[in-house]
Amino acid sequence: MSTRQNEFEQIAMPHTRSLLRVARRLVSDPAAAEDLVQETMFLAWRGFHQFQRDTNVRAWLFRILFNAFHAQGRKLRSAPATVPLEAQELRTDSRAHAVAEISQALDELGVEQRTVLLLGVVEGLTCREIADILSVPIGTVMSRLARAREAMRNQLTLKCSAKEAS
Amino acid sequence: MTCKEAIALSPLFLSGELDSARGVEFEAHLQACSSCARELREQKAMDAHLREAILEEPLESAELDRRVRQSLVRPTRWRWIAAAAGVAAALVIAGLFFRVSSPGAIVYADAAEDHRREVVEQQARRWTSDQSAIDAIAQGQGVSPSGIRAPEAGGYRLERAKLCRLNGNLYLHLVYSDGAQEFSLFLRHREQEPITEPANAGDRQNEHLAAFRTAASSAVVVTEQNGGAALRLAKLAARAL
Repeated sequence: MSTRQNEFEQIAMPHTRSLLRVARRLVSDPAAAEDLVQETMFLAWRGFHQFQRDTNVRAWLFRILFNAFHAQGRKLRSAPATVPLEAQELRTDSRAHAVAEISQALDELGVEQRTVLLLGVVEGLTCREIADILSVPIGTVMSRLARAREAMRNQLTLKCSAKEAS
Repeated sequence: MTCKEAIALSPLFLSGELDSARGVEFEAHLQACSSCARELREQKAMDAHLREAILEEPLESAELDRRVRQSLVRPTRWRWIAAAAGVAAALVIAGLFFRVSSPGAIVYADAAEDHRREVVEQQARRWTSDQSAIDAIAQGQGVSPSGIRAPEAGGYRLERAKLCRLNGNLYLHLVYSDGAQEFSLFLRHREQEPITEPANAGDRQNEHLAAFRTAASSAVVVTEQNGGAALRLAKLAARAL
């Protein structure tokens, strides 16, 4: 293995799971989500000589992923990942049920709100990094995050009310 | 700091991006305003639940890691030459077809791009090369197994298959070889949703395309071989499909 490849393995490869987690919620088809991550890693490998080692590698990889996603946008329909009904039915304990409800509430958001919550809350990126990844002003990220949090709470409150009513 | 300002700045506070002066102001506001303090507590709690829930979901990435590693170790020189040629061709095709802006035109551009990535550049994909499994995939798409083998009479060996999406629609992607060059045949059962362009053929730098429609199928053939090679395979396939 070359030095460059060894470095890529250590710096970039540990983040494929994070990329896949986000890609699965951008693209409806799981195989297409994997292809998107593979394309991302290939582009990252090709541009690895340009990566500045003192910057956030995850933010760099996510920027490549979203560029690839937008470039392929006409092919990859933006849609939330879905959990098969059987899988949901199997999860009967209350903790699993709560997890499924939160996951479903996230999927019911629009792609912009879902994206900022995934990047900011789940992946722990800063508003500035998200702004850079999505090529939007930081103010846009802040307002999307605020609206997304509110929408999530509304979704979960609705689900809670529906459960109590039934 | 007003409540409105505090709520607007809350995303920066939660991500730890408020500078120290604004941070002190923000904290002071929370001390004085129970409503904003409760709002922040609820946001933090929801963030924690969301993070835990999503990170708890099963996610299998071992096979993906393997495919990524496989794509890194391919001979670099060939990849660069192929990628450069392919990108140039794809741009020309996209430029020509997107001006037309029809669903069929987008299918052609997608087909050329998939052929470049998956066949010319050999980016790792989940191909099926077992012949009976290929038959099963074809049947699942309403395509006759004997039809996809018809080009073998003309010296084209069916090597592998997978399902793919062109313009968002599912197609059967078959790869044939004549011993020297590989050909992609993208096939879709007509009843599912035919492409709308008339049968034609085109030469575009590195990638050459031919398309046809029969009563049962719509198809696009892509290859890097010129001299009407795409059209020859298209004709063989069209007779049988």
